[in-house]
Amino acid sequence: MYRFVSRLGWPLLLTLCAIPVIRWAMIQPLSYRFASPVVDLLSLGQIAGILGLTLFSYNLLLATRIKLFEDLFGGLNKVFMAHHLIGGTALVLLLIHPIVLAMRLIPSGLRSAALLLVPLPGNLPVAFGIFALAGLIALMIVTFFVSLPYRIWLITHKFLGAVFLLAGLHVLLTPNDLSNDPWLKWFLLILVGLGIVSFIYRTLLPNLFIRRFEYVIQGVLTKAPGVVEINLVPEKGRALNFKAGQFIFISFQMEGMSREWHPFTVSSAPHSGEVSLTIKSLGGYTKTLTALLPAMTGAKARIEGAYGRFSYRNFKSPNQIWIAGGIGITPFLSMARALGPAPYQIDLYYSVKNESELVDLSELQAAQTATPNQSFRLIPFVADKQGFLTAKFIAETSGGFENKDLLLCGPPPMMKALRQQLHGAGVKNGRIHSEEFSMS
Amino acid sequence: MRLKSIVGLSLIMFTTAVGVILFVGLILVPPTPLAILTDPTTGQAVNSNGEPVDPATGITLQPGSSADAAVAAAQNKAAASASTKVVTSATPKPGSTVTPVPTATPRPGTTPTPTPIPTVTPRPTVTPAPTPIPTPAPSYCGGLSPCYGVSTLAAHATSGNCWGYNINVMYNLTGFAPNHPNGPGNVTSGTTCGKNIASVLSGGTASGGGAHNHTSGTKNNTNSLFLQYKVGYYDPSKP
Repeated sequence: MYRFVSRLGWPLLLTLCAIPVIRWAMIQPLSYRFASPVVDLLSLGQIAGILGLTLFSYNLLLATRIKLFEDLFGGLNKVFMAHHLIGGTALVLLLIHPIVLAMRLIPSGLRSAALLLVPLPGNLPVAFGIFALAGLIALMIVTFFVSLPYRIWLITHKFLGAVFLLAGLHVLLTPNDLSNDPWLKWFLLILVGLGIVSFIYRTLLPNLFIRRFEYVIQGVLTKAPGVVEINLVPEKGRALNFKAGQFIFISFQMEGMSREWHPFTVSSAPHSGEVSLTIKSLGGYTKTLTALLPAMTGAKARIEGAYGRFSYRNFKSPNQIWIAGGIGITPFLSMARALGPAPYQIDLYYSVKNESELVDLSELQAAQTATPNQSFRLIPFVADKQGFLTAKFIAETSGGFENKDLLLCGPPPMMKALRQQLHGAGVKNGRIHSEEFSMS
Repeated sequence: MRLKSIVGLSLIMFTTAVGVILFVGLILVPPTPLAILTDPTTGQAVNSNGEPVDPATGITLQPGSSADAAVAAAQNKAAASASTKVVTSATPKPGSTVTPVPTATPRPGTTPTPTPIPTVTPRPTVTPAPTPIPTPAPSYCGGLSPCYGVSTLAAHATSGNCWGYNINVMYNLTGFAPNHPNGPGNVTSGTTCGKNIASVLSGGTASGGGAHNHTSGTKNNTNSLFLQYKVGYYDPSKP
C-alpha cells in the first residue's frame, strides 16, 4: 500500500495541472484556439500563464512539508526535489507567458507589442502581472544564482507571498476567457487561496502552526576524523517521535552559530529517549558546527520533524540489503539500534574510503553478534583496499536480490553508479529505495 | 545542475526579448497620433477616443468642455487679440509728439436746423431669368472607393458573413476573426456584424464578452493587421 501511495505524487500533480488546461480547451472550440499564428501565440501564452500559476500554487503547498505530500512522493527529500523542479518549470512558463502574448501583437504594430510589457496605470491587471513577474525574477535570481547568507535569503523568500498575491490579482482581474468562465475562475481562485494559506502557514507564521521541540545538548563525542555525534535530550520533557531512519530539522540556539534550520538524520534509536545526530564536517555550516560543538555542551536547540520515509519498517520485504557510503551510515545506525528481535534478514554493506572513517563499527559488530541466526550482518567495505563496492559483489555475498528491498544512502555519485548496476542485475526500481539529500 | 542552466538560459532569453521589443516598439516606432474626426451628431471635432479636441491643433480639450466651450475659447482668443490692438494704438510711439484735437463748441445764439432727408423711391427689382443648374450626382465616402452604404452593410450581418465599420472604414470581420490577437471568439457577434464597431473597439462589451479598450491604432484605422481586412469605405448616407 505504501509503495503504491508513494508513487501517486507526480501523476496526481500532473492531473491537477491538466484540469485547468482541459477546461480552457473546452470553453471555445480548439479550431478557434489555433486558428492562425496570431491566435496560436495567444493560446500558448494563456496556457503558459495558467500552468505557471498552477505550478506556483502547488509549489507553495509542497513547501508546507505536510506529511501527506511525504506519503505521496515517498519522502520529504523527494518532495523537495519536486519543489525545486516545479519552481524552475513555473518560472520558465511564466517567462514565456508575456513574451508570446507581446509577440502576437507585433502584426498589429510594434508599439502595441511593446506597450503590453510596460505597466500602465490605465491597465491595472496587466500592471499587476508585470510587477509580479519582475518580483519573481528577482527572487529566483537570488535563489538560483546568488549565494546569500541563509537568513537574508529567507527574508527575500518571504516576498514571494506578495508576488503570488499580485499574480493572483492579475489572473482574476484580466478580462479574458478565464474571468468569464465561472468554473475556471473558481478553480484558479481556490488555487490562489491555497497558495496564500500555505505561504502564511510555512513562511509567515511557522511558529504558530508548526510544532517544534526544545532540546539541550547533553554531550558531544568525536567518532572519527571530522565526524562528531551530538546527543540531545528534551528540555521540558516533550520528546520528538520518530521512526528509525527519519531525519529532523534543527536550529542551534547558541553564540557563533547561525540559527538557520538544517536537516540531519537521527542516528539514535527511537526508544532511547534522546536524539543523536552524527555529523560530518563537509564545509560551510557543518564545518563551523563541528568546530564549535565540543565546547557547546548545555546549549539549546530547536527541532522540527520528524520527516522522511527512509525506514526499514516502510518496506514490504523482511529480507533487505542496506548499502551505506561514508556518512550515509547515519540512518542505518538508527535502524540497527532499533532492530531488536524482529523477523528480518538484513545485510548492511558499509563502504568507506579508509578504515579510519568507520563510525560506530564496534557497536554495529555488537549488534551483529547479538542477533540470532545472522538476521543482521555487517559487511564493512574499504575502498582503498577493495576498490569500489559493486552490485556483483553484493549479489555474491548476499545471495542474490530476489524478493529483497534495497536501501541506499551515500554520496550521490556512488548511489547513481550502484543504482545503474542494480538495474543491470535485474532489480526493479520499485525495490531500490534511496535518500538523496542535497539541499541547495 | 541542469535545471539551473535551463532557468539561467530562459532568464537571459527573456531579458533579451523584452529589451528588443521595448527598444524597437517604444524608441524606434513613433506613437500613432489620434485622428481628428467630426462627430456626426454635434458636428464637433473629436479624436478617435471620442474626446473633444481643438480642430486646428488636435489637442484634447478639458473634460466637461463642449463645442460651446471651444467656441468660447475661440472668441476669447479673438477678444484677446483685439484688446492687444487697442493697447498698441493707445500707446504713443517713442519720439513722436501727439497733438490733441480741439473739440468744437457750438456758437451761442445759433440753433441748428435739421436738414430734411429726401425720401428715396426704390428701384424696380429685376428678376433674373432662372438658369437651370445641373444637379451633381451625389458623392459618397468623400469620393473614396469602393464605397458601401446601408444596404451592403445590412447584407453582411451574420457571423459567417460579417462586415462592420469603424469611423469610415469597412472591415471583413469574418476574415479577420481567426487573426484577432485576443482570439476569434467574440469578433463576429450581434454587436459587430452589420454594425458600427467603434464602441466595441473603445471597450464596449461585445456580446461574446471580453470588453477591451483597443489601442489608438485600431480605433484610428491605422492598425496594419486590421487593415488587411479592410474591404472599402462606408457612408451612412448612401442607401
